Amino acid sequence: MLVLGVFVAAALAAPLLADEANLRAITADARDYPRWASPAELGPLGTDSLGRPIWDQLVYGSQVSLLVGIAATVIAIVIGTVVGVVGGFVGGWTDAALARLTEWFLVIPFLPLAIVLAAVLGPSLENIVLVIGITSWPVTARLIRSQVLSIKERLYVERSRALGASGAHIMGRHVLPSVMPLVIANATLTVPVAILSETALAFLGLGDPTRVSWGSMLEDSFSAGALGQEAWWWYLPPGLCVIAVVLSFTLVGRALEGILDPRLRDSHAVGR
Amino acid sequence: MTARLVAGKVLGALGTLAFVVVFNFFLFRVVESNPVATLYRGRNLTDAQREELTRQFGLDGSKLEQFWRYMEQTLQLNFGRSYATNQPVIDEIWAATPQTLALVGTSTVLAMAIGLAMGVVAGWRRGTAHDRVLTGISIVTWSTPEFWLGMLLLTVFAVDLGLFPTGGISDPSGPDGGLGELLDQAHHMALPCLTLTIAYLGEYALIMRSSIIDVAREDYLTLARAKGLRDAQVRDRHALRNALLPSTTLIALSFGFVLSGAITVETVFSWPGLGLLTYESLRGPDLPMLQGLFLLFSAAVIVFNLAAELLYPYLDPRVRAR
Amino acid sequence: MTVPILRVRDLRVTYRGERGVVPAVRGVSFELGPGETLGLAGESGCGKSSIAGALLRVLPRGTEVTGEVLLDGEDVLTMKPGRLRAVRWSEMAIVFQGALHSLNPVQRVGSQIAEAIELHQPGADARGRVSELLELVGLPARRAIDYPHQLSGGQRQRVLIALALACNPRVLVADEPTTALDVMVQAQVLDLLQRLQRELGLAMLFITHDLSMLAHVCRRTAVMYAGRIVEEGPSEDVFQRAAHPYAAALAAAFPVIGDPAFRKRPVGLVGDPPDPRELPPGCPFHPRCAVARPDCDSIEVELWPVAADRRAACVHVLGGPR
Repeated sequence: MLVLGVFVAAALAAPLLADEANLRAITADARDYPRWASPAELGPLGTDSLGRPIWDQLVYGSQVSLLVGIAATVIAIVIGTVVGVVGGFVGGWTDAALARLTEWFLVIPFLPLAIVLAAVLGPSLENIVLVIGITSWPVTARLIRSQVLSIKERLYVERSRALGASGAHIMGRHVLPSVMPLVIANATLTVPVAILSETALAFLGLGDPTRVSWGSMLEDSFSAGALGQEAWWWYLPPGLCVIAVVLSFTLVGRALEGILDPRLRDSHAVGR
Repeated sequence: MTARLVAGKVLGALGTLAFVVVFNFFLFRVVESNPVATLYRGRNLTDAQREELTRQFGLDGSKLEQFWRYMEQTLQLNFGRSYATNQPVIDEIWAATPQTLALVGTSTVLAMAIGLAMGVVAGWRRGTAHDRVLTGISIVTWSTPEFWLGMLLLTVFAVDLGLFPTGGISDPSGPDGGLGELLDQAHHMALPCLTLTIAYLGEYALIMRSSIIDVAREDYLTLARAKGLRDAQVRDRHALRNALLPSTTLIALSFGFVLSGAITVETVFSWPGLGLLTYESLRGPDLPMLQGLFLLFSAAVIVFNLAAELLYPYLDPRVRAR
Repeated sequence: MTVPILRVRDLRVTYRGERGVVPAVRGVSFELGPGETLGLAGESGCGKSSIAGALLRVLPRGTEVTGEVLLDGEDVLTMKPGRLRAVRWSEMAIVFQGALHSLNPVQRVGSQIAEAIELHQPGADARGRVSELLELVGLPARRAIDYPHQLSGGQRQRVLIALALACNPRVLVADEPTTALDVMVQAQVLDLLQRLQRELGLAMLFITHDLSMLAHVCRRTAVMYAGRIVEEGPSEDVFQRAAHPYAAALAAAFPVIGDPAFRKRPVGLVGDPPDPRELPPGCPFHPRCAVARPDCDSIEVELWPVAADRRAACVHVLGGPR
C-alpha cells in the first residue's frame, strides 16, 4: 500500500521531481551531461548512452507504466464484466456464445496476440492501452460469470422476479452490487499483469516512441549495449520499479480478495 | 474415455484454431484495411510498388476473394514469403522451431518440477515460516519481467564471471558435430533456460499451493493419517494427485505465458528460435512472418491444452468412467 | 467390571482458529472394557466427533487436546510419533462417516485397504486379506478394483468398515457410520456392525446423533451437550426414562417406529445448540430447557447419581422444588 502511494505520488508529481527536458538527448548535449555516467559521476542515478539522466527517465516512466496499467485494466474489466454479467444473467444462446468467445481468447497466447495487434495498429500510448485492454479481459469475464450464476441461484433474485421486477431492475439492484467487490479485487490483480505486459511490449519496441516508460528504458539500455558496458545503473532501477509496483498491486489484490472471501484469505495470505 | 469424447475435444480444439485463423484474417485485412499504407507509412512508394506489394500480400480482389485465397493458403501452411529474407515464412519458422522447443521444453519441465514441489511444501505447511518464504519467492519471481531477469543473469554470469556465453547457440570456433557440439549448445542454453525456469516456477508454485490447501481439508486425508501413515506419505500418496487434478487446466493455460516469455528472453540471449524471429520480424515489420508466427504460437497453445484435456481422464478415474 | 481397554480422563479439545478459541470438548471421561459397547449421542456441534478425532490424535494442527486417553494403560496423547503411528489402526481404528469424502477418490478401494495392511503387517498377503475383508462386510471380492465413485453409499460404508477392521484392532470407533444413508441401508450397516462387534469381540465406541439407534447397538449410552456428558447409563434406561431433560428431548426426536408411546409425546427441543465460545452460565442447557428453574443459570451442574449405574447433570435429579 505504502509503496503504491509513493509511486502514484511520484507519477503525479513528476514535474516537481524531475526535469522533462532531461528526457531529450538534445538537452543532455546542451547541458553537457557526460555519457555513460555512473551514479558516482552524476547523481543520483547516472546517465545513459546519450547522456540523459536516468532519474528523470525513471520518474516520468512511472507515469506511463501506471497510466497504461490502470487504463488497460479499466478496459479489460469493463469488457470482462459486461461479458460476464450479460452471459451469466441472460443465459441460453447468448451465454453459450459469449462463453465460447471467452474460451477462445483465453487460449490465444497473450503476448503474440498483443504483438500482432500492436504491429497492426502502430505504436502509440492509446494503442498500447487498447491492445492490453482487449487481450486481458477473459479471466475477468469467466470469474464474473460464475459469480453471477451463483447469485442468480439465490432466492432473493427469484423472489424479486416473481414480484414482477424487470430484468434490468434485477441486474441493477441485485446483480451488479453483488459482483462489484469481486470486480474491484479482480481489477487490482489485473493492473500488475497489465504493467508487466506494457513492459514486455515496450521492450520489444512496440511502445510509444515519444514517451519514456520503464519498459522502453530497458529496451534502450539493451539495444545500446548497457549489458556489455556493465551500466547496471541504467537497467537495474526500472526493473526494480516494475517489481515493486507489480508486487504491491498483487499483495493488495490478494488482501482484498481475502477480505471478500475468508476461505481465500486462508489460502492466499502472504507473509510480510 | 470413449472415442466420441476424444473426437469432441479434438473438434473443439479445431474450432478454436479456426477462430484464430479467421481472427488473424480480420486483424490484418479488415480492421486495418490497408496494411501496405500502414506498414510503409512515412516511406515514399511509387504507385507501381504499391500495387506490387498489394498483390504480394494477397490484398487485391474483393474481401471474400481474399478470404478464400487466405484460407486456402493457410490450410497448405503457406503464409507467403518473408519480407525481410524473401524466403517462405514456413521454412524460416520450421528452422527456428527446434531451438525454441528445446529451450521452452526444458525450462517448462524444470519450472514445473521445482514450482510444483515448492507449492506442495508451502501449501501443506500453510502459515509456517517455510510457507511464507516459498510463497514470497513465488510472488517475487512472478512479478519480475522475465527479460529483465535474463539481463541480470547475463551480466552476472556471462559478462562479470564469464562462466557462460553471452548469447547465440554455439561457439563458431567450437567443436563441430557430435557430443562436443551438443555440449556447446547446452552451455549456450543454460542461462536462457535458467531465466525462464526462475521466471515461471512462481506461477506453478502459487497454483499448486492453493490447490493443496483446498485438498488439505478433505476427510480422506484424516483417514489416511488415522491409518498410521507418516505425514509425508499422506501428502505424497493421497494429497498430491488430488491436488494436481484441478491444476492441470491452469498449468496448460500457463504454457501460453511461457511461450510469451520465450519471445523476450530469446531476444536478450540472441537464442535463434521463434522468439528472436518474432523480435526481428517486428523491426521490419515483416507482416507475413508475424502472421505465421502468431498462428503457430496459437496452434501450439491449443495443442497443449488439448493434450492436457486428453490426459486428464488418466489422472482422474471419475472422469474416465463417464 | 473387567479392566478397561480404553479409559478417557477429563478430555478437553480446544480449537484455535481465526474465529477465536472454541472449546469443543470440556472435560469428558468414560471407560470401555474389552468387547463392550458404549454409545455417544448428541446434536451436531456438541463435540462428539472431536472426541473421535482426539482418540487417535487426527484433529487439525494447532488444536489443543488435554487430559488422558489411556489405551491399555498407555496415554495416546503423550505418545511419541513413531509409537503413535504404530498404535493407530492396529490397536484402535475409526469407521468414518460414509460420505464419498472419506475415501480417496483417485485410488482403488482395494489398495486403500491394502495400504493399511502393508503398513502394519509387512509381508502379509495383503491382497488375500483384502478379499477376505470385503467378503466379511458382505461385498464381493472383485469390488477391490473399483474406485469409490463406482460404489453406492451403502457399499462405500461397508468398505470403510472393512478398512477399519484391516489390522484387527481391539477398539473400534464408529463416527456417525450411517449418516447420509437411506433407512433400509442404515439398518443393514447397523446389523453388520453389531454382528462384527460380537463375532470379533471388539470394544466399540459408537457416535451418533440418533439416540434410538444406540438402544439397539450399545449396552451403555452417554449423552453429550455443549462439550460435556450430561447423562449416562444403560442404553434402554437413558432412551426410555431419561433423567436429563435434554436426553429426554433427544430421545423424543428419534422415536422408535411403531412404538405408540413416543407418538403422544411432543418433540421438546426448541432453539439451537449454544455457541461453544459463548456458553450460557450455569447449566448450559437452561435457555432451551422446558423445566428450567430460576436458579439453573447459576448452579454449576455435574454428573450426579440417578441410580446405581446411572448419572445425570441436572438439578432435578437432586430432588427439591420444581
